Amino acid sequence: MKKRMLAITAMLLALAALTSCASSGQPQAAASPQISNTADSPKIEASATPQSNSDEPITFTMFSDDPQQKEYGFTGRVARKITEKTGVTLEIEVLNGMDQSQKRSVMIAGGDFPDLLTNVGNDWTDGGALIELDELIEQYAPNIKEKFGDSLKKLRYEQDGKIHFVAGPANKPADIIDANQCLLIQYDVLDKLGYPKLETLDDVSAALKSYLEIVPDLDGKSFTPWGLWLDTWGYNITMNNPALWVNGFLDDSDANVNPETYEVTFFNRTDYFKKYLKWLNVMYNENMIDPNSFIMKNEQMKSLASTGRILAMIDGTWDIGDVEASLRQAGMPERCYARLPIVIEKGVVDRSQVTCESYSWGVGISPNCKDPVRAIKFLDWVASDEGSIMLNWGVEGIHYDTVDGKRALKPEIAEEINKDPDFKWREGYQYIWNQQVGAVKLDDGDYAVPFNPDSVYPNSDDWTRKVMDQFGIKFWGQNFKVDGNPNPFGYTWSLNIPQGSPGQVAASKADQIRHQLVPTIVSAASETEFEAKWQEFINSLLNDSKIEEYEKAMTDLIRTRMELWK
Amino acid sequence: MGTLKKAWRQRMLVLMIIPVIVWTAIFSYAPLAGWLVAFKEYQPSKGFAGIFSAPFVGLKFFREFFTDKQFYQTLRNTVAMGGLVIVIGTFAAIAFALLLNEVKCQWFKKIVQSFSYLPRFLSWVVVASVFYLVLSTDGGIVNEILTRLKLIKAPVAWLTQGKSFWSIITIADIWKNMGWNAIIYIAAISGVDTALYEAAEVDGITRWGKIWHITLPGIRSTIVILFVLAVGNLLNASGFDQSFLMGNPMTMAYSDNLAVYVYRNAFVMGRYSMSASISMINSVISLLLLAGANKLSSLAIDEKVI
Amino acid sequence: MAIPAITKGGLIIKTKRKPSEIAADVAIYAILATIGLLALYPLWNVAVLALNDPLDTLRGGIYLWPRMFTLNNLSLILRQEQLATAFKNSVLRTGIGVASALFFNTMAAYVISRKDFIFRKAAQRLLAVTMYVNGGLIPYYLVVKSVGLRNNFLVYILPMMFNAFYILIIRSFMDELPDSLTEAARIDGAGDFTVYWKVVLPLSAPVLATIGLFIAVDQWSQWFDSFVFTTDKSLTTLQYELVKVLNQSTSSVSDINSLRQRLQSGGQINIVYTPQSIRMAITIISTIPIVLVYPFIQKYFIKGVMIGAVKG
Repeated sequence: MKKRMLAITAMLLALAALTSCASSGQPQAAASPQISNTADSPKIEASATPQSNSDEPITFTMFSDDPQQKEYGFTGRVARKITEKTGVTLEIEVLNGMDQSQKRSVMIAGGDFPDLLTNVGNDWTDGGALIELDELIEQYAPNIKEKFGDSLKKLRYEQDGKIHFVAGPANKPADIIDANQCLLIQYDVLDKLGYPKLETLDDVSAALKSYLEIVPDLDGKSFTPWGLWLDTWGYNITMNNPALWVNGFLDDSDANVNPETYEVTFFNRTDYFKKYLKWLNVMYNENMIDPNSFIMKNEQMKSLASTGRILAMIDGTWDIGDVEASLRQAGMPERCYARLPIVIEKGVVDRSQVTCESYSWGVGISPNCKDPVRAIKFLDWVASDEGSIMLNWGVEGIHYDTVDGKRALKPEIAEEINKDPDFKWREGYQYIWNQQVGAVKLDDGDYAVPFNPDSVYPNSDDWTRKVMDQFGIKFWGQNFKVDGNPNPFGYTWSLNIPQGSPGQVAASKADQIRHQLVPTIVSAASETEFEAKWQEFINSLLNDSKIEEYEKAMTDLIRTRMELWK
Repeated sequence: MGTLKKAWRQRMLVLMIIPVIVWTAIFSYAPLAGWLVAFKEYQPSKGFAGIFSAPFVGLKFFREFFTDKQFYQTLRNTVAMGGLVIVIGTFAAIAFALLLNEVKCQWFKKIVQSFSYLPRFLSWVVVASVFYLVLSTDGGIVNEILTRLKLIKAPVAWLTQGKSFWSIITIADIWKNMGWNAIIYIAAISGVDTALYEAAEVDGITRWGKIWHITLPGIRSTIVILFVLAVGNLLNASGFDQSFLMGNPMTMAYSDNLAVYVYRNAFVMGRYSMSASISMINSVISLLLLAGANKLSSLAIDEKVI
Repeated sequence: MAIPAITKGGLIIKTKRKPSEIAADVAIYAILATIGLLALYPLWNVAVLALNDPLDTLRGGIYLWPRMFTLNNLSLILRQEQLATAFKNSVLRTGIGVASALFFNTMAAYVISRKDFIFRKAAQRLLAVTMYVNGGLIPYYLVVKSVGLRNNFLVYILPMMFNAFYILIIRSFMDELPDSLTEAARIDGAGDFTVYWKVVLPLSAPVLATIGLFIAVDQWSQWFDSFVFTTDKSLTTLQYELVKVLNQSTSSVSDINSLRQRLQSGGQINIVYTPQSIRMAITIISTIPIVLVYPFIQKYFIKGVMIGAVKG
């Protein structure tokens, strides 16, 4: 009996020892600044930090709040070149798991930040994860200052007027190869109708009706003339945003802004939205919309579209990439989609592809970073032309050649990139931090990214070329105007309403309400029912979700922003 | 003094129970300090120190959801779906275990049992899309069969109807979990003394008699403990995933349960304190249910679980 | 009608089968076969889809056999850099986790099964309560961190070492064991631990196999602890790697802001792999080990233990 007792006591002690061993084994870095959880993020006393040695090798840990990025060791050819030029090696950790907000709250609660954080926005600033960068940029980052120029003030956070992260500058007009979100209509529909001119939504419904008279179904299966899917963010992309595009707005998301007073109205309660719903309602009653759309998830929409049964819809072109690949693979290239601008009535100008300048995510430095000066210098290099070219194109001679002053990817590299989605990650240059991105021209006159609209037409299949010829274009972006009247306050969705505030609560509640009630408006069987359901929706927004809180919060934010951007 | 003396005499047992006590103190009870935030306006972005610095708001969040009519609707759904899942699920699992037990052919028994637990390993995402396909109006099996049997005139969009939701979710849960839940009953049945069966056979007992008089009583304590513990878990029995994934805005009035409510009204909005307060209420109710079920079992069958 | 017959166990009285019994048998077999097939089919379908070309899968209509066979989905996953480490860690944590959890849980269960234990009620209540209370993720994270388990392999073992539910179930099994056995051992002078270790434990084989299985599945399927508590790549687990792969496809986004963020950061749209196909491949890869190991455990609780034999 005694022996047994000793054995058990020994086991328990061993357990205790193991646990304490574990805690003592923690590296000292864990004793990080016990989270100064005040609203002001820690300032860096530039005088306290030693003059950092620019080219001494240093390793930064970096966290990327983007689950789509991939973690590879920093050993690829581009990565090694970066280390060679700057002395910096990065240990990258990517968000891997279902929930960004859970990981964020846990990291903030424990103060466990790596040196650098990327793909993060001002909600992290609230948690004390990102230090103020104003002085660092002023003293040590000439490239960032130059590339941003006057736009540097647009990086400021509305809550404290300071800069907490840097992003790639968006102050130059960029060309587009393909539209972002627009009207998608099947080649076959256009073809069978002789490529009619489609300007307004009514043109579209007429065209669909005429098409159905010619081709009533697909091998016995019925068509869904107008596609919708409303599950989670599908509502934003196929219900909310189309109403924006057809009314000539940019991606204002939920905020309809008065251009003079900056007063915000929740977009879904404006008459613009009502007009679009009316059109949908007519379509619904003519059996052009599948009742299942209201509960359809993304996967199910893609399945339907891949069998060629969705004739038209307004969605993201990135949402149908795999659909079109599947259609071509199945021998149905005529069911792929043409991209067209469309408005609700004559006279409205399409601005769906016009881009604004505002910044919501970028790369920042955490209070745990021991050498923020070195860090900002690194970020400065990334922003420079040299850094941007390396992160977009690769290493000269290995990945691309410069011929007559113009850069061109080596063909074998281009093939690798197309074949293997992990290639660029392994090499070390798919990461986006704050380098210049987008199809913009650099100081040397050439593009910052391997932008090549010239390769689109020759590489498209016959049907696509046929349709493009009809429009006289060589790539879809040419159907759209890219410049013209951006919002002076940037994108409204880049404004950060603090979590838990009445405005944000109102917006969340409103989102639930609209998911529930908008389908009833669209499926109303009569004019009176439509009006009744619309009124019910408005009342619910005002009373149940107190949407005016959201409107007030947004109005204040926009006004503050305009002040900061003066 | 009497207690200490007794404890000393049983010191081996005390020693054997210490690990679990220490463990629960650390991993189960210490985190409960977090319930403090249910009474404060806490922002997780303020980190750990924020728990103490956040302003005290008393019962604000409790008042909020107790006055939200949606909360009561959600509670009703939770209890209904949870109840169905627990009762019918237990019944199905036991029935399945009993049926399996009747099979003499060992390889058949093993194979069926091995297949039966497989759905447990499908994620609810996969299960939800399976049910979407099966219940679809566009060629789904259920509608096809029902139309052919002339039980319905036109395909019914089952997933858009709130009233069907509870049945659908119960069927889904049983299909997914029955095989796995039955394992414990199968193990329990295997512990019943075979000599009892042999003796009863001599007296000419029927198959049903064996089940009713030997097998079931033999596994009674297992059934009771599982059921009582399940009742305590009523509020969580209809999980988050299935309601969230298989429900949709048209069925929200029936499909939203407590877990989804917390997700929508606390999590998505970043209101950590709100979810902490609901979690507290959830625990309190669960413990009351547990105590109630425990008492009932002692009254009904003279056996207390805890 | 009773018919005497000689079998291995000695003289047994067998009853001749009536037609109604045969009919009942047939019905039972039929029902069970249906259940088996209904349960098998979806996983079969998942396997078929995992072996089917992703773009082709998108079009639907695949039921029993792949339409466009491909190993790409599986090879994508098996190509993950950390997979070997992850697999090793998963096997380790399952093995150590099961052994340690079984040992400690059954020990605790034995103690509370002893009706004469003075703290019995208190211990049981203390345990039962833990099943229904949850302080939330952040406090839990802070506790785990303060015990030093962050970025430590033991975070996979210690937090899962005890489970009140399992303890109570094991206890209820132990309650069924006839007292005569333990009495006999005690008369021979055995102490509490010896009784537990030498008498009770061996008799509890079916419940040990069952709970061991449950713990093993719990350990094998865990990814959340890797996600929240570790940043060290050498500590990754199989399930976590699989979740990573799934997340790297665009459509596993839950709200519009995450979508924007992903698109803005230059996310390429992978048209070679769809999230659906990846999900199928992941399910297969994580389920196969369980399916392979299962038959070895099954025999412990499906055939039944002849308690009569132990009586001697």
